[in-house]
Amino acid sequence: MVRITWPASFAARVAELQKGVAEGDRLARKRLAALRALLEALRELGAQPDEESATFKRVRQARRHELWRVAHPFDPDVAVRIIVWFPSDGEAVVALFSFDKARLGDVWYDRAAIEGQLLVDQWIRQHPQSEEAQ
Amino acid sequence: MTNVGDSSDREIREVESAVETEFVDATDVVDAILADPDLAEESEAIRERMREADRVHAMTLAMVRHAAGLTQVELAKSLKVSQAAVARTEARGDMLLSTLRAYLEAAGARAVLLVELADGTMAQISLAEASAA
Repeated sequence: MVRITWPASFAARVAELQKGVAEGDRLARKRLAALRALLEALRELGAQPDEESATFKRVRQARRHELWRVAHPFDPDVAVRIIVWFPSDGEAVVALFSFDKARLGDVWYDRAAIEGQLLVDQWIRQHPQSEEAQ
Repeated sequence: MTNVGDSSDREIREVESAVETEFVDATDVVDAILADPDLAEESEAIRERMREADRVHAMTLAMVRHAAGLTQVELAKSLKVSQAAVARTEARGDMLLSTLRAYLEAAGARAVLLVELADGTMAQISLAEASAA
């Protein structure tokens, strides 16, 4: 199972969703259930996927680093996406989350590729001993 | 309206934001989310739909051709293309609906439907109509 690293600020976003669930927010509940499903699928991997699937697909707009998006099937209310990068076997770096159904599309993936790769650059700077940094 | 200046400013902000980002090991946080029984049932229903989507994704065109008992050469003859073109189509991840329709019809499929299930409601559209749109 891969270990998961993410930006420190993500814990607050998850806590915000959990607070919404506790307060009976139906949309927060659906978003957190979807996020849970995506994180579970990610955690079950041992390494970067060998091939694409409906759940795991490469972000084609990302050229400098191999980013993957994790997705769930269509839901009329929610669309949660995770952008992830695998620095080595057993490690996954979650660069971005999206919960905004209205904004998902090619433009979002263009931005996600730019922002995700900048975040991967930052991860590499923070982990100078990693293979990617060599 | 977005202009070039806005775009440059946003990219500078993104670079600055990324440089300030601190990464932390979230494995324990994730495992705590996964161990919470409250959302387990809803989440498992989503996982099951994800597995089904993955199974459908893995159903390749070559498997359809094999089921029809055809070789690439035979299918290529029906499509009036080369065997190499059929091989390239089978290896491709994405393709036009019209290409998919032609391939499936050459393999003997008729009246292929695209089906979407959402909230228990089934929506159907014929591939012929979709590829003509």
